[in-house]
Amino acid sequence: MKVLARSTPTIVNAAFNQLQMWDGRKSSLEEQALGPFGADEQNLPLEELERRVQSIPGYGPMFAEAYPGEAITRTTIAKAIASFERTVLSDDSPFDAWVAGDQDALSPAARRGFDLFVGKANCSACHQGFNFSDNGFHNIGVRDHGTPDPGRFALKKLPSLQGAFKTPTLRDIALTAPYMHNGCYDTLEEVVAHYVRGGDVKDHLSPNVRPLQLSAQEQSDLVAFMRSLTSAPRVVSVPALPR
Amino acid sequence: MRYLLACIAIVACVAPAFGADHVVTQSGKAFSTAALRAKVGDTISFRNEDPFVHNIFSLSDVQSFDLGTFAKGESRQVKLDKPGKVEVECAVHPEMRLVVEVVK
Repeated sequence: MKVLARSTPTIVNAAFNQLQMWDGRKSSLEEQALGPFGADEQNLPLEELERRVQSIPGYGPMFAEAYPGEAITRTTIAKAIASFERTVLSDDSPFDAWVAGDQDALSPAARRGFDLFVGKANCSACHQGFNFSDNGFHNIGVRDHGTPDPGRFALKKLPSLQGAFKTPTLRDIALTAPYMHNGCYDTLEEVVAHYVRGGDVKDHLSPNVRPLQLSAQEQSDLVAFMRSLTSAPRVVSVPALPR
Repeated sequence: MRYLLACIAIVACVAPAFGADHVVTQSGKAFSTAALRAKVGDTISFRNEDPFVHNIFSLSDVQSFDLGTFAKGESRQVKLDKPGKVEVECAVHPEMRLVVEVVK
């Protein structure tokens, strides 16, 4: 098995991403959906993917209904996958209930954590808006194993993009370990400690990242806030796959 | 007094050759304008009014530049030296775009 350099990005609220992938190289979910069929992940050539889906009779009427007049091709397969991804949403967390007026929805620790998040800890410089992402690209000083990952610099040769990656959503973040573009941290506590250190690699570090003076209690409060962004699990009916 | 008037006259004659300075602010992850018309020799001053960093760059065929990343309250300036369409972006926030039409 080949270990890849980057952690799998969450698809939670991926519908709201302006660009897809850690380096933003895909501009839509449809484009993104076909990427992992390459050799590094599924090792399934698109021609073979099309042949397999076309060979399953049950898919014919389903695709015809969803995409009238279009054949079963990589294009319609990508549309179908992207359409599913757009249903993976997180928007009814305890934090949302608190914003809507339920004062008891957040613990005191989570409320203190939110104050730190938008204040002293400066997290909201990048994790902004309802999806807690600015859809931007930042070098946050994460140390890579082996050769440093150029990140978005591979697409746009600008010094400030060296080692820069997309700001991920924090929705359901407690459920989407490991963290950072290379999955180097297993816990949210480790993530907070990273930011308290002001990052580990200072080359091309975003000015938004700087050492933080946060007590152990404050670090714990930040984690409590992030855990409050977890929405209730949604019931998903396992579909009977066409034959 | 005569000397002062002479100096003012000289400045008045010379000033247009320096071109105009167009101020564009960055606020709420947006440029204050999406399109700008300017002349060769004009400058654009970009001022960051957001509480987080922005960048300014262009990889346009007409003129490419990277003014770097800068914090709230800071400015960066670029001189427009060729006619044509210059697309300006923020590397940090790809949705920020400004099209500058530079004329002679």
